Amino acid sequence: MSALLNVPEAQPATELSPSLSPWRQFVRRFFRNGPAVFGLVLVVVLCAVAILAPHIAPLDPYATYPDGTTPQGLPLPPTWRWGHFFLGTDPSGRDVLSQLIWGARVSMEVGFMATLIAVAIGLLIGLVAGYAGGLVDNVLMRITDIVLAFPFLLFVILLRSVISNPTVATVYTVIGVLGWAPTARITRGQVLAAKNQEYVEAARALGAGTARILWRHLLPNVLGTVIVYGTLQVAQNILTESALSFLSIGVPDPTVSWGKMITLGLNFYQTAPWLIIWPGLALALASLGFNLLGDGLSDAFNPRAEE
Amino acid sequence: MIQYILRRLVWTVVTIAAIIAVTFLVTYAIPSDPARVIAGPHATPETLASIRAALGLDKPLLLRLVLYFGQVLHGDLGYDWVMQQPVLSMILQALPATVYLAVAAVACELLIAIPIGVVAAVRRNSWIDQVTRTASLVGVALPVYWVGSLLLLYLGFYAGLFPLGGFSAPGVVLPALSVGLTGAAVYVRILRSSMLEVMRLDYVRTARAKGLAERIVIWRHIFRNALIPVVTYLGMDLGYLLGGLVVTEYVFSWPGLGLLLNHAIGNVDGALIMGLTMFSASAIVVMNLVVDIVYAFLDPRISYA
Repeated sequence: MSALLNVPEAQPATELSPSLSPWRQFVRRFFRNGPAVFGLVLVVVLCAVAILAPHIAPLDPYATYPDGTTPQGLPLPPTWRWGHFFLGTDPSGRDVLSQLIWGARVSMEVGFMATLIAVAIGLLIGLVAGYAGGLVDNVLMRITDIVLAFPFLLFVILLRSVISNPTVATVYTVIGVLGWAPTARITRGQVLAAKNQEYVEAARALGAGTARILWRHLLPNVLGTVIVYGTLQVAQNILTESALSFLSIGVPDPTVSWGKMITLGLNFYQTAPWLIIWPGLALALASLGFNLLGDGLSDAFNPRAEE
Repeated sequence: MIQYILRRLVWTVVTIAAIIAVTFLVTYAIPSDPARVIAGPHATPETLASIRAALGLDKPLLLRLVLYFGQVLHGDLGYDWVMQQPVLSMILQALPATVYLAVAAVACELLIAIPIGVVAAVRRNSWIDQVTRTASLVGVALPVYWVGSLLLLYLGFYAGLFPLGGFSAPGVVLPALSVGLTGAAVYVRILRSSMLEVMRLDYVRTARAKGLAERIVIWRHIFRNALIPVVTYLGMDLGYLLGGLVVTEYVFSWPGLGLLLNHAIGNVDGALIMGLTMFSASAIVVMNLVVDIVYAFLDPRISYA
């Protein structure tokens, strides 16, 4: 392998051959980072579970099974037998494992959609502010500062609580619409650093219009940083959705959400502790996965930024 | 310096004005009508209209916003017709419990983070450092209310060491620990990297060269200077901390602002949600101002230009 890639013996293993394309170097650096790969695996598995939920859930998550409770009406502890209430049941006799699998859908949907909305708004504002400069930049960044000063969760709660007929889309829109400020800040900084470089000047000299310069030349440059931040934001948004659902202002009933499962579990923790343990573990793994992936991407993009 | 403080002060006022305006405009859409709450379900349309007129609800939105600003400036956050109490008095009643918990939670965060961060930096790349880095990655990922539920289950219920909720001196330990365990992770990372940065500086080499004990070099020379980013983060973290308190108070039935907010959400109580959001957001902005000013006095390297 090393002969093929022309790596001299004396070079340490982390030094990469200049003959590799930047993309290949990036991929190599990423896959040499254990935690990052672990994060990627977690994320891929969760996405697969979310997409395949109807096919892999052993039971109906919404069905209240008569044999899902004891004769006294108490929930069943984990049986560890697939298709027979593997992770136990809740007090209405619903299968915890199936609820957990379906809950991944809501978490992933809200996590990704909220981030997409936040990143789209943040990119637009950051690109415009950074490229236009002057008064436009000043006004946009002052607004960004104000939004950054707002306590995020409180305003999400406020905005969400005034909407009377919520859907899952309401929840991710609210989280996304309030979460754009950091992306705008980051994008603007990157644009400011890039816009006076020679390749942008060259594009302008060749007659490229503002839209083309923004889209073809500046956007690709800021995308790396934005993707890293966006990945970390997915984790944060998953936790925000679960916190909202935990406070009973998240996704509407009967949609399953890990946050809601924990609220229910909290009412029965003395008799049925498994009701809080599993959904919390799922949440922690989801958020850990996106955090590790984000950190890994960041390390692979900026190999020199060590600690 | 004075110019810097003035500029921060003006900016704080602008931010608070924006907070008041946004909370007011958002809450205007809330599906609860104070007139209906007061008059009851059997009121005639005429009664409702006269109550609305008495409360000023029939005036145009912009005028109401201006009037609301005037009201808030006089320290009046409105009357909560659901709970039959002035909003501000309910907030002031719940505030001490939240402040108490917040202080305990920050103390927990620092008590956990400082020793771990220092050891991780001093013994860089040792097994302690590796374990710490993994633990702090996991810590950031944990939902604070889940950690709270687990502490409640294991330390409260199974071990019986702490009360299962409510307001008491031993009762503060578990909620503070929930916020502390999840929040400490970020502080560990910040302290570790800032210690590593300071360690490379010349004056640390000088301190070692003149024969000071390693303990003194670490704590007096490195640690104290490495604390600066930690203090900065402490100021930035307040909003996040408050978010954590809202859910933690719910887990432990801690009678603070978070539990009040939960009641308000449950009752679709617009006046109270609005008052709480505005009050807490403004309080955080003011505390950020205080942190910045204190910080400017402490660190002479900050430019005030």
